Amino acid sequence: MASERGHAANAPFHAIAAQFGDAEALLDGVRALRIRKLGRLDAYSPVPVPGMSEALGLGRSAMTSIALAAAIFGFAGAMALCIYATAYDYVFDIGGRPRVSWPAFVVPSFSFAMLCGALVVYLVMLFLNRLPRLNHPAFNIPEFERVTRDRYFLTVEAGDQPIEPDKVEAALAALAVRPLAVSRVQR
Amino acid sequence: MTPASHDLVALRAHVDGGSGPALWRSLDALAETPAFRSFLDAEFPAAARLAAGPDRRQFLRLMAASFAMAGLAACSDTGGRSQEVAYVRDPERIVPGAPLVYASATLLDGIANGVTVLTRNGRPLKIEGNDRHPWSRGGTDIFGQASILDLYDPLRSQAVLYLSRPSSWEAFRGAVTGPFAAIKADGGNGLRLLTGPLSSPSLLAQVAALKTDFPALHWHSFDPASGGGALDGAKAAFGTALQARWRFDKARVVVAIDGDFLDPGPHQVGTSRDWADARKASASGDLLTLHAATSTPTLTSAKADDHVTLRPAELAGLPGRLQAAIGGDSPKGDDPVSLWLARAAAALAGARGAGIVLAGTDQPAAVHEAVHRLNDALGNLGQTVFFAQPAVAEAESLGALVEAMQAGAVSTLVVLGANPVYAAPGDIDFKGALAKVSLKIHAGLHADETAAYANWHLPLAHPLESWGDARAWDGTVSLMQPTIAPLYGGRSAAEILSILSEAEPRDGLALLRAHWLEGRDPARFEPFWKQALIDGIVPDTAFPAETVAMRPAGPSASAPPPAAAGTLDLLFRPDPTVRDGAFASNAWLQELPKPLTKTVWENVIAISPALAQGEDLSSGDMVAIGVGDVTLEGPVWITPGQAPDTLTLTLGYGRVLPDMLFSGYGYDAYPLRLAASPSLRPGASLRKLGRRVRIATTQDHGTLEGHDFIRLQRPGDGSAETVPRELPSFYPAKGGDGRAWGMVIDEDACIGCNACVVACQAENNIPVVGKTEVALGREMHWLRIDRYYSGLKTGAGLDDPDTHFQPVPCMHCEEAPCEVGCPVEATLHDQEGLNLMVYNRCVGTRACSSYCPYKVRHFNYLDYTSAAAPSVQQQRNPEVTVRPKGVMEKCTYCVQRIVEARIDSDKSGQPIPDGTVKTACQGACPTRAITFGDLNDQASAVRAAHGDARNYALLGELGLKPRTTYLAERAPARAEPPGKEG
Amino acid sequence: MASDIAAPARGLIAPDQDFGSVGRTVSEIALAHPLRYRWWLAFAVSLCGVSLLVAAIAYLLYAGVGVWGNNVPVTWALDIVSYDWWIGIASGGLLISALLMLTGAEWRGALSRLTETGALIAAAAAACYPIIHLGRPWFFYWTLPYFNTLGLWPQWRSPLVWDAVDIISYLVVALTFWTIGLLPDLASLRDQAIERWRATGRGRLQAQLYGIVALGWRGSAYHWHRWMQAYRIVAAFGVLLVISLQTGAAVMFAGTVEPGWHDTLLPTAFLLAAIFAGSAFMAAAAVVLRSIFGLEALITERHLALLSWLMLILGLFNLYCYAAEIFTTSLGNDSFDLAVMGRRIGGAHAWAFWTIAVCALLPVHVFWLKAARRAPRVIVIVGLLVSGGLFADHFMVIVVTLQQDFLPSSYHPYEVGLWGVLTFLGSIGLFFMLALLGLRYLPVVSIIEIRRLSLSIPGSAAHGV
Repeated sequence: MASERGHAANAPFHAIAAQFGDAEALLDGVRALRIRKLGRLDAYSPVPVPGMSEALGLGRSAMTSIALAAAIFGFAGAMALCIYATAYDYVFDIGGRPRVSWPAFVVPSFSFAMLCGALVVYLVMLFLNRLPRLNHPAFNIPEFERVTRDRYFLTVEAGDQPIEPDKVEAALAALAVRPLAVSRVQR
Repeated sequence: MTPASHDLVALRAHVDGGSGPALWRSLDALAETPAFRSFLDAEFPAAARLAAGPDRRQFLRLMAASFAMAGLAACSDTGGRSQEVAYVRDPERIVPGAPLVYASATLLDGIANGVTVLTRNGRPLKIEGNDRHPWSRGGTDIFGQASILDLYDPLRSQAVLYLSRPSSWEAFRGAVTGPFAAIKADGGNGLRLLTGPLSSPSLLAQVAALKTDFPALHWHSFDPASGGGALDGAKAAFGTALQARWRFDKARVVVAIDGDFLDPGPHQVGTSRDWADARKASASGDLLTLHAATSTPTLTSAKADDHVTLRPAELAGLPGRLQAAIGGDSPKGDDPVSLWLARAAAALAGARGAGIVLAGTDQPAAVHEAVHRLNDALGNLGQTVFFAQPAVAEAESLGALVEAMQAGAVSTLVVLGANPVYAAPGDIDFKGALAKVSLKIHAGLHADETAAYANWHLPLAHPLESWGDARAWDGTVSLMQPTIAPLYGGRSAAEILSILSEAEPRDGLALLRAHWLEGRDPARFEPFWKQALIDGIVPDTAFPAETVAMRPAGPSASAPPPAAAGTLDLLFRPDPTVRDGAFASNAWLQELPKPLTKTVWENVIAISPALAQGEDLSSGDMVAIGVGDVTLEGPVWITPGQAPDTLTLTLGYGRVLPDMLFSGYGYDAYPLRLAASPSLRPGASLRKLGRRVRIATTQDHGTLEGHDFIRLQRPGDGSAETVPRELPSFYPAKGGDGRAWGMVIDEDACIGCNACVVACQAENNIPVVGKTEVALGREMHWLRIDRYYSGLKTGAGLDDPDTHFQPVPCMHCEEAPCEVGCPVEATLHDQEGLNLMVYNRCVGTRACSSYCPYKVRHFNYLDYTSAAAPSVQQQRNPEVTVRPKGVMEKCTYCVQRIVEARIDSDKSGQPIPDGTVKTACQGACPTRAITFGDLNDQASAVRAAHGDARNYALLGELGLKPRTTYLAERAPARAEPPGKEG
Repeated sequence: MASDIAAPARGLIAPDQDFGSVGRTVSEIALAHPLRYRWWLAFAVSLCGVSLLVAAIAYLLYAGVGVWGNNVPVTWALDIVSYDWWIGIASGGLLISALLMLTGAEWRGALSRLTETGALIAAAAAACYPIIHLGRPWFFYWTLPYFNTLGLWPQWRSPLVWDAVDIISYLVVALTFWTIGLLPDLASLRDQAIERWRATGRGRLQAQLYGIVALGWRGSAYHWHRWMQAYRIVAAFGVLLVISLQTGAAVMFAGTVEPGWHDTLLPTAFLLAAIFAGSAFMAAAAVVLRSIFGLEALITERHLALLSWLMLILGLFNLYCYAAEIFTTSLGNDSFDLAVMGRRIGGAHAWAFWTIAVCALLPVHVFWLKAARRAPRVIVIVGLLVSGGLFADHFMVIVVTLQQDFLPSSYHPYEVGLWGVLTFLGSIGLFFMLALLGLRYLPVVSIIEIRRLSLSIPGSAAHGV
């Protein structure tokens, strides 16, 4: 929606965006530009594009291990709480059962573990994606609102060192399937 | 839930409909008083709230409370309510909160039962037994236990009424002085006194004195509850009206002809104790066995080792046939009766001088006479059967009174504590005859039907709030002392007689002392009197056994002719819980399950399974019973053990007084009764009406369904326990040290009398929920008595099965499943093995009840407590929490009593002696069937009972280690092949 | 474009659908509100249901839980029955949705949103019972651990405490699962709304709201990467949680000594019954929505066939459970268990048992017929019969055992009370109100899943503009 607003010519430069009509073109574009190390690449698509992660070289994120840790932590915490509460903090004779009736604590602990895991995963996902963020420069790309329907975008951003726009545009122009449009995106 | 508005409307209609206008005049009158106004204004908005509650009844309780207020406002003189206000300075001898116990007596049919009354802060709270009383020996019955509630009954009469308008004692005195002076001058002509049965020496002396002042005075007494000819039978046999007494301890065989010596009645407490003790003592040798023949099942026939059921006409012939059988011509035929006769006769013949033949109080004189002669022939007289003066003094009959009234010979009638307008037999038109009496004075606990037709109604003081004396069944004079000032300004019968006859009326104490001072050395009177009041008895006043000489048999008063074929016999019996109606206003007794039918809040018509099958009737079907020109409609109840073609009607219901607790419940059997034979009326017909009503019952299924919940122990049998006491378990064993509370219930001694149930209700503030709620299955009794039918003892079938009683409190399982279910530790174990219930922690998930295999837990589905009348709330035990809506509750082994003992022992440093802690049920039991104590105390009685071979755990196979166990019923060595399951 | 639909996707998405049209078909429902009047009508009806629920609860709070027909011994009746049934539907919905996702059954795409939403709101309907069935509902929090001056904890050995933990966990996990799946779709809705606003000038607020809830999702490859991981992990947790929850709910009975409850098979039976009820319910719902919104293009005949097979298989599993229970009970030969079994089959509430047999176990066998597997009406009817029949299952398990467990004397008849029924109807109203709101404002079918589906054929969606 940012593309509504007009921009001062000297607005800070964000990236160069190329618009594609389908996934393959995008994928080829990414592969092509990645080799040439023109800057930090990102790809926007209505649906996850198979192979894109590999193309961009995204490894397995830590999410799985974080989730597992959270679940285990939740289970241990709940079990510890049950045992502490029934066997140490406030001991009752409940139906002549042993003080530490751990089998009785498995179900609630397990359920609580699932709760912790799911919640943590969700929050981690948002955090790593830096969401919520309503004003990302990518929204300045022309026609970007079609990214959730039928358009595919490739952006080259300044990574460690600033990028050279002309080189990037040249590279884009040299692609097998040429972008439908290329634009310089302000921040 | 019918909305409260309905009840209001219904009530209004009911009222405007003018049922009992006389009484409503009084309400209008009351309505003028500001107290009543303000009370109604304050409370009636809340009436809507009662919609949630057990509708009509709660509403009526509210009305009741309103009457309480209004009544008090009306009688300004002895504002009873002032007694309930907390005192500023402690009265002497009253330590706040500490219990104070008085010896006193409760009355049933005018006969006393010695009890003690526990009071706190000046309020009587609980009836306990009186161990020093030679007759009751610490036992109580349901009527005694429940009398505490009668004391606080908000529906009790609360004001002197003149033409049903509030008046005052002064006004009454002023009004009657003149007339009575005139009558005195006339030698007492036209003056009649009608009382209930009287045994009180002081009252009888007063009546005698009255007769000297008014020579022409006639004294009549009327007891609707008694319908038999026991005294006449003795008169026929010995020439004097004597009461039979039995020495069970010297007997080996008892043959009961419609025997009811274990059934409710003034004799129950003492006789059942004699029976239980003798039975227990005989167990070592050959068992004291009971052969019972009845027309309608009774507690006695339920406890019989050998029983048969037959129609009244045949029953009356039994003594003769027994005599013949003993004489040698043993009965032919293999019908149940002949077989029973053969066995009974053999047993009697084998125990000459050690047998007892007895007849029920409801049997006619002829049967009693025949029984006496049989005992004589067997040489039992003077050995096991004795005779002594009856406790109740003889007076003229109601019939004689009504004749005189109809003849216009009665100008002034004084009715003390009787309600003949309601309870008179159908063939005595007392109500009609009243019209011919110019001055009618009625004194009663309630402004009842008779009060409505009297010029003056006087509120009678409750025995617990007045001085008095009365004889127990055995004649022992028992003293009654007030435990609280009259709540509603009532006066005792003695005081009223004094008002009528004496220039300077004296109070109850003065009258009583004066009577007992007579013929004693005034110097030595005080210590005697003090001791008598402490013990609650006048020592050595029991009637001694009289030596009797059998008269030659007169022209044998032939038994009633055998009933015409195709017609039914009607038996009339006092209701097991409300008796003749005298207790109809007692909510505890109304909701107390009748021992055999387990129905509540109404009376049913007992019908035999065979007849029901023939007439295509099932329990709850409405029938019309016609006899002579009278008919009544009521629901039938299929009752195993009922004689074929015989219906049993119980008294005390079907009353229409507006806004009384009992109005609208049950049918009224009195109109069908005959003065000549009050307990039996042949020639009745039955018609199915095709309507059904829902009877509220607390036990729908009555057979053992093939299980061994009830067990028998015959001579030579091994242990009754079928599972090892210690089953393998994952759970840690309970520590052996410390106390381990436990209870053992002797099923052989339990006669199903319900005294324990009422005691539990009184002790633990158990609410009454009303008929609708009971029908929904929400009764609250912590202790229930399960009644099972089986063929265990005799192999008899559905028509006349064996009956068993099993009291079921909380089992206090050591591995209680209920506790595991509770999410909030609202129920848990303490270190002494009590399964505790923490009311204020309970959130009401009801998991504990779902998990309880005995279903002994009860849930406050609605608010059952807060709407109770203010006066009723006065009775509540301050030691026990009153449970709010949404909370689970159950038997606690009377933990409040345990804690009391524990605190004492902690203070003294001594262990709790065995027997210190008595649960309410244990204390109330007349046969001492319940033992309670510390199982870890080697010397304790409960430990011994636990070790008995008869001891077994209910559902022991579940391995929950219940702390409550049972002692199997005893049974004589088996004569016939094993019985089949009932 | 039919030529482009390759084997794996054949039949799962209509040939005339392209990338954009999928989104439009779905988002139109949310944005343009095609069936305005019928929706409002349905919504009004469901609102009546909800007000009924509110009234019933208000009366219950004021008068006490006794307004229901419950008594002693039947302390638990419609309250727990309804709870177990609702949570069963929910568990079933979540379980199939998650399982199908993990097993990568692409045909699930069209149904995932439906099942996830259903699972969530069924749990919401269930969640009101554990509180209102208490005698003193205002103290419900005592069953949870919290710091209090008494230093008391919940009684952790109680299955009721497990249940409190379970249902809370379930609500959180189901909500997470649902939200994650929804995020990209919200983004598409956002952009559709913006376009619509640009074109017509209407729906600005709508666009902004969708913009906010979409959290600024922009379909970056990095986002997708983590999104897919998160989605799958939460799905896995969901599956495990459902197993744990149903076990807990079953042990609430199996952990007692009561005849008919004390049975090791119960947890399995509960779980399978739950999945059965859930999938049947979802199948019916799917077919109904399909015809209402004309989603034949997205929920195709092949979907129906697959759903039918699913029901048939689960039906067989459940049949096994009942058979096994009857067999083991007879084999165990415990007189109390046998008595309970007898009462289930022939007692006062035998209708429950026969309802299960006739409504739940029998009808699914119609799906042996190819024709039936393709007939929407049949699927709806069978689905509703099954889910209803399994209500009777909970009724049978709970009420028949409680009405008479061991002692004949503790038997007391139980009749379903009016207020209990009204409360249940109210909970149904609540379910439909939430469902209608979901239908109105959210994509009924997951746009993203459908698109991925169509993408699974290289080039198929490439030309759509």
